[in-house]
This record gives sequence, structure tokens and C-alpha cells, in this order.
Amino acid sequence: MNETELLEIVCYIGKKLTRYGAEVYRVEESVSRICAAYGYTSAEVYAIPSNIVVTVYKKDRSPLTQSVRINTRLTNLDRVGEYNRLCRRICREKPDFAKIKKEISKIENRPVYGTGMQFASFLLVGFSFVFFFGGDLKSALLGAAAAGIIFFLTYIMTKADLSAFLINVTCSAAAALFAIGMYKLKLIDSYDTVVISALMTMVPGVSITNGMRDFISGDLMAGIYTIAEAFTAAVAMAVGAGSVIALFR
Amino acid sequence: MEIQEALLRSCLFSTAACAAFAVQFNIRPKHLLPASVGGFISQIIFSFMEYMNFGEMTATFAAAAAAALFSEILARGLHAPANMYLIVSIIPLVPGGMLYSTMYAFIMHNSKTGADLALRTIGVAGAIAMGIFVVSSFFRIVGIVRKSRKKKRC
Repeated sequence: MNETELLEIVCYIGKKLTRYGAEVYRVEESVSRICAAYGYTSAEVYAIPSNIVVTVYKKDRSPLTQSVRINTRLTNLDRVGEYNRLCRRICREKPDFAKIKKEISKIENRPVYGTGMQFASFLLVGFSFVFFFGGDLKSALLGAAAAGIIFFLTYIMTKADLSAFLINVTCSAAAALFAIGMYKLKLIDSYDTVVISALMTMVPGVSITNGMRDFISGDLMAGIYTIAEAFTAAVAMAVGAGSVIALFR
Repeated sequence: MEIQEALLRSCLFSTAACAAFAVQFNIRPKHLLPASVGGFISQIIFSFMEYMNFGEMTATFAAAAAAALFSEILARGLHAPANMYLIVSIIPLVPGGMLYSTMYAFIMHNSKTGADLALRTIGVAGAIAMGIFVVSSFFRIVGIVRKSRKKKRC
């Protein structure tokens, strides 16, 4: 494997790991280990959740650098696990370029839960959190419906490539609007549990956990980025739901 | 009796919600059940400590630490990244209800209650972070020690 092929492989794997929700620590370590496995022991890797830069050196040759930008992210922890396993295998067996390519396409073709299943999971989150917060069955059904609305809006707006902030504001506003409408129709006694439960579907769990783990491993830039992402999501949800509630107060 | 019922209810439904979140994050069936059990563990510890009047921050800290410990052990046993389980396990601890109450208080012009609730929310979020921090750093240190020992032997 020559330098350009190696860079292509590590940048691709790094990009996919970051995109699917791995911590930056894992990305940097995976990349530098693969480089080391092919004899580039002094490879320099710098990653933050939106960008990766890799430079490889070898004696008597000029250094080579490649960078990748990660624009959109889509949590898929199954593939994070698979890429992690692939990295270990590469370090152990040192396969050639074509073989790694084949393994990567195998991972990219792994099954994902279909849209129907995703929709059902949103409904279940909305439904169970109403009971979790002490609501009754009627609120639970409405909580599931509100979560369904959120799923529908997220689906459309992600397709339209809108920013996460805008998606969060719109979805939380729609969920609050739905809950207040049901309250005004006297279907429920209070709209609080329905709104909270619907909003729980948008909790930035990945950002909170990964941000914390980035801080632990000393990747402060990545930690700040990820925690800021979680904070922005929380603020966006508060703004969306809050403005609707303030309007109909 | 009533408390037991409430405890059972919150644990059961947080487990269901965790399983649903695991689907959202595309965790395959093999890891889905262990991840949901993590949610059950963190919730039962939180509810129990809350019931014993330990205070919400202490309860959250203990629950997050337990979730992190469970995830790290599971990750080593099942050869998967720890955050696959950790992300799902801590979801019942996220102070969503408190955040909502904070926002609500500010909208209703109760700035004093709002500020109080905001501080509590930050406290609970910090407790989750500290719980993960303590356990994960412990496991990282163990990993580093092991690696350096291996090198010496070679």
C-alpha cells in the first residue's frame, strides 16, 4: 500500500467513524494505529467532530497531508462498532488496499432499521415517557402522537438539508402546538407531560456522552464542540416550545 | 406499596424508552437488550436513592456512575465500544422535565423559581458528567497501566 492509498483509507474510516457518532479519541487512535501498522509510525492526526487532518511521513520523502470535512452526522452505533472491529483487524493482518475496500463496502451495506421501525421507536419513546413522568393513558397516546409529528417533521427537514437548530426549533414548536391544541379541546387536563415526553425524542444523548468522554481523554476542542452542540439543541427545544406556550398562555 | 408501584413503573417505562432509543441509534438486536438493561439499572438506582432522600444530584451521580461501570464491563465482554451502551443507559437521567419546568417558570415571569430550577438542571447535568468521568477515567488508567506492563514484558 502506498501513501495515497493509505491516506484514502484512513480518511474514509475516520470520516465514517465521526459521522456515525464515535468519540474523537477513538477516531484519532484508530487512524494513527492503522498508519503505524503500515510503517508510518510518525503520522500526525488531528480530529474534531467536523474535520480530520492526517499527515504521513516516511524517510527521504516529503510529507503528505489529507483532510476531510464532516458535514452531516447520523448516529449509527452499530457501524461505529463494526469500523472499530475493522481497524483492529487491519492492525493485526495488514490486508491490502482492495481487501480493505471490500470490507468497508460490506460494513456500509449492513442493515439499518427501516423507516417504519424508526417511526415506531419514536412513538414508543413518546408513549413511555408520559408514564415515566406520571401521566395517564390518554396523555400517553397523545404523547406518542406528538412524537410521531416530530418524526415526520424531522424526516422531511433532514431530507431538505436544514440545520439542526432549525429542525429542533420547528419540531418542539409543533409538539407544543399539538399538545396545547389537545388541551384546549379538553382532551387532557395539562399539557406538560405530553410536551416533555415528545421533546425527549430529541434529547442530545450522543452529544452529552461523547462530549464528556472527549473531555476525559483531553480532546478539549472536540469536547467543547460536542457539549456546545448539546447545549444548542437544548436551547433550540426550549425556544421552540417556549415561544408557542408563551403565545397561548 | 404505592412507592413500589411508582418505582416499578418508572423503571419499566424507562427501559422501554431506552430500547426505542437503541433502535434510533441503529443498535442491532444483539446489543439492544444489554443497552436497555443499562437504562433499567441507572433508573432503579436513581429512584431508590431518591426515595432514600439522598438528593437528586447524589442520586444522579451514583446512577450515571453505575451506568458507566455497566457499559465499560459490557464493552469488554461483548467487544463493542463502551459508548454504544452508555449513550442509551444515561437517557433516563437526562433532566428533561426539569429543563421544561425552568423554561415554563421563565415564561410565567417567575424568574426566581426559574433561576433556581436552572441551577438544579445544571447541577444534575454536571452530576451525569461527573459520574461518567469518574468511572471512564478509572477504566482508561487501568488500560494504560496494562499496556505499559505488556511493553515491559516484551
